[in-house]
Amino acid sequence: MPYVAYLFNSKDKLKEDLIEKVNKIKNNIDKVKSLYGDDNKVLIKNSAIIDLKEALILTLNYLAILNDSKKVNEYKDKIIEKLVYIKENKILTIDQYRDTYLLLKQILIE
Amino acid sequence: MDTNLQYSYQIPDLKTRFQIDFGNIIEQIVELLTYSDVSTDTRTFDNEELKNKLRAAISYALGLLASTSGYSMSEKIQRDVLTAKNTLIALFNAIIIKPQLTYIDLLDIYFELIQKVSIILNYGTPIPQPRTGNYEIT
Repeated sequence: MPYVAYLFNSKDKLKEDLIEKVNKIKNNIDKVKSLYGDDNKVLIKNSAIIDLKEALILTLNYLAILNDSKKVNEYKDKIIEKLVYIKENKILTIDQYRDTYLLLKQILIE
Repeated sequence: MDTNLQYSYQIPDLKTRFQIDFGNIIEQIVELLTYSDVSTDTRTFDNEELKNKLRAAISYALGLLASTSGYSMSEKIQRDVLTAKNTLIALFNAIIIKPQLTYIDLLDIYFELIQKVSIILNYGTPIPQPRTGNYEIT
């Protein structure tokens, strides 16, 4: 869905799409676990990183549209920090990847 | 022309136009934020071009805001919309002054832009204002 369309439609559609993205991240984590077990040093890159960036940008949209200053104050900088880290490093360990997933999940659940 | 019909035509048309113009720029910014290395990858990112795009997006948002002048709003909403306007103008000026936009700048500007446009779009309803004067063709 075009990003601008979220501004014209309900927050529900944005949340629905965000849940789908976050589930994709979870699938990536599960896939790594099934291939490498509990090895925390496994590195995540390429398409799995793009999936995460897409989810983070969508979350930024979600926070912007939510009109909830408490949530914005709590999470906006964290999301931006994650995006900047990914941009600079391009690769994450599975632990860092999972931490970011948990942050996204927390924002969605609250 | 019936005044109510006139409004029901003008308002959606304005929003559709905004959705297209503003939407095109937003998609390009999202693409930059997601897929390219802003400020280092000169193949996909040109600082001046991006600054122009951002200023255009802000201008569209201000145009949309100006169109809400005939809307019914509570005092709180009026304050929110005024804050949105001031933030957008401050962003516009900041973009002019900054020689080089960084990735963080772009993320911040993007967030502010979406948030303020969301405020402008979601508040207020148009008040139909029937014309009461007599018009005479001379």
